[in-house]
Amino acid sequence: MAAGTETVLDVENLRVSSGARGERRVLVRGVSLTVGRRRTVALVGESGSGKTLTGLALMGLTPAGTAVAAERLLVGGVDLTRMSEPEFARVRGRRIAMVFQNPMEALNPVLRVGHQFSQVLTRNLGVSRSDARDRARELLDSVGVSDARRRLGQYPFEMSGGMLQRMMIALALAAEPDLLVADEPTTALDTTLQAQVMALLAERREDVGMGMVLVSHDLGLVAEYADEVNVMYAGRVVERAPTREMFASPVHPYTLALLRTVREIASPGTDRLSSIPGSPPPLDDPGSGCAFAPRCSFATAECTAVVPELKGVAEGHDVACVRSER
Amino acid sequence: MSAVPVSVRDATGPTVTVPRWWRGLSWRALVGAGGVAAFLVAAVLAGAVSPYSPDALAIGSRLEGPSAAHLLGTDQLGRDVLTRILYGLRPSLESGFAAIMMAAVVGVALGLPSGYFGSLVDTVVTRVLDLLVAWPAVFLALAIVLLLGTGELQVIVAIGLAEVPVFSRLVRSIAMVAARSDHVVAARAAGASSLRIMLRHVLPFVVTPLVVQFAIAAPQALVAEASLNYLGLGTHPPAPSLGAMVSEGQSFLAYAAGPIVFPILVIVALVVSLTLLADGLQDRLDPRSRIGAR
Repeated sequence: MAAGTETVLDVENLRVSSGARGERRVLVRGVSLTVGRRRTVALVGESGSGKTLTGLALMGLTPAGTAVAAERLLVGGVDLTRMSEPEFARVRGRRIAMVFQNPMEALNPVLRVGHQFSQVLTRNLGVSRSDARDRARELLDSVGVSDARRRLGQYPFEMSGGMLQRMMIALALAAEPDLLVADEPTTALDTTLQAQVMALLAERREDVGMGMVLVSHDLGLVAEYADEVNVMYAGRVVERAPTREMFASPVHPYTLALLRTVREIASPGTDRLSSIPGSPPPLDDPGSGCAFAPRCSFATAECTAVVPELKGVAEGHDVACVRSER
Repeated sequence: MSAVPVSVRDATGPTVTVPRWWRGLSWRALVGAGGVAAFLVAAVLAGAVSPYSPDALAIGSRLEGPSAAHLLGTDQLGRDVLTRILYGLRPSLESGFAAIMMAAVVGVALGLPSGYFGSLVDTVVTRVLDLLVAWPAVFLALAIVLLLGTGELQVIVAIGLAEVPVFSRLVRSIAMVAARSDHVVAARAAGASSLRIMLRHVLPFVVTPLVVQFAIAAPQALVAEASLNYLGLGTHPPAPSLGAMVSEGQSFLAYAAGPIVFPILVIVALVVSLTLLADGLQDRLDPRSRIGAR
C-alpha cells in the first residue's frame, strides 16, 4: 500500500466455519486484507471460492449457524471482533456498509422507498424525519437519480435494477462509512449499466473518502476499478498483487488459468476462450495440500503434500504456490 | 409475497393505488361470509328479535314441538329453544374469536423470534410447543379447567393454547424464509436492530397467511368451544350455550328431538359457513393456489 494512506480495514487471519463443535466445517481459511482510504481491493474467484462469505464476514452478516473468527478485524481503527451483536448493529451502516448483488431484492418490497430511506437516515444520522426527507433527496441527487421526490414515493417494483442499485449505493453511503463492501454490485445489471454504476462507486469513494472491498468474478471490471487484487480459491487467498502487476505477471497457475478465460486478456490470436477443467472442491473439504492441485497442469507430488503459504515474490505481490518458492 | 395492490397509473398524474382484493372472491367465500354475517347479526340482535328471555321458565309448556309461539319449540324447562340458540351463539362466537386472537398473538410472539433467530431460541420454543401438541386437546382443556375452574375465560385459554402451536409454526416457517431474504440481510447491513427487522421487514409477510390461518382455525375453535360446553366446562347454567343445550337435551331425546337437533344444526351451519369462508380466502390470498387456478 502506498505510504501515507490511512488504513480503514485491517483483517488478519479471518476464518468462517459452520456446524457444531464436533463436526465443524471450515469455509474460509485465514484471509488477511488491508484496505486504505480511497483504495479499492478486489476479491475475485469462481463461485464457491468463499469471496462473498468473506465479504459478509466483514459485516458480521454470515448466515445463521456459522462462526467467524479473526486475529484482528479493525474497521476505521475499531475492533469488531469483540463486539456483541447489538454493538455491531450500530456499526453497520455507519462505519461499514454494504452494496448487494441483486438490487431488486435488497429493498423491502412492501414499503415505499422513501419510508425505507427515512428509517435508515433517522437511525444512522440521528436526524429528524423532515430532515431525513431533505437528506434523502440530496443523496439521490448525489447518485444521479433525477426526480427524487417522485422516486421516494414509489415501491421498489416500480423501478429498474439500475435505478435501485443507485438508490442502494446512496443508502449505503448515507452515513459516510469508512469501508464499503460491494458484493458483485453490477452482476445483476445490464452490461451497459455496469460501467455507469462502477464509475458512480469510484466517484463516491473519492467524495466520501472510504475504502472499498469489491467482491467480483468479473476480471475486466476488477482490472479497471481495483487497486489491488486478491484471487481466492477454496476459501484461501492464493495470490495477491497490485492490479497492474497481477494482470501483467500473474504467478499462481489458478490466476493464469483464470486470466485465460477472459477474452480481452487472453493472448492475441486465440479465437477460443479457454476454460479451467473440473470444478472447485467443496469449500469445507479442499483435500490435502494445495486445493487447486487436482485441476492444475503443473501439479507435482509435492503439491498434494503441503498447503502452500502466501509468500512474497515481488513488492506487494504474494503467491501461495510451491512453484513460486523456487 | 402478499397480495399486490393493482396500480393504475396514467401518463402524467401520480400513482394511484387501488386495493381491489375483493375481486375474484369465489362463490364459496361469498356464501361463507354471508352465513357468518347472518349468525353474527342474529347473535348481536338476539334480545331485539326474540320476545322471550333465554332463562324464562314455562313449566306448563315443556318439550313442545315447533309452533307459531315457539318457532323451534321449547326445552325440558319450557324455555324457548330459538331464543336460547340466539343467546347461545354469543359465547360461541365470542370465545371462538377471542381464543384464535389469543393463539395468533401468542403464535406471532413465539414464532417470529423462533424463525428469525433460529438456534437456541428456536429449539426452546419448538420443544415447548411440541410438549403442548403431545397432549390431546381435550386433556389439555380438562387440565386447564382443573387448574383454573370452569367458565368462559378458561374455555378461551384452553382453546387458544391448543391453537398456539399451529400459529407459531406457520409464523416460524415464514420468518425462517424471510430472515434469509436479501432485503432482510440488506436491512441488517444498514444497521437495523433485530426487533425492528422482525416488525418491519418480516411481520408484513406473515399477515396474509395469518389471515388464512385465522379463518381455518375459526371452525375448529367453534367445535372445540361447543365440545367443552357439552362437557360442562364452559358457561355456567342457566346461561345458554350451544354445547350445553345439546348435553341438556340429551336426557329428553326420547320425548323431544328439537332441543338437541336445532343447536346441532346451527353449529353445523356455522362451521360450514366458516369453512367456506376460509377456503375462499385461501384461494384469494395464497399466491400459490392462485397461480394454480389460472
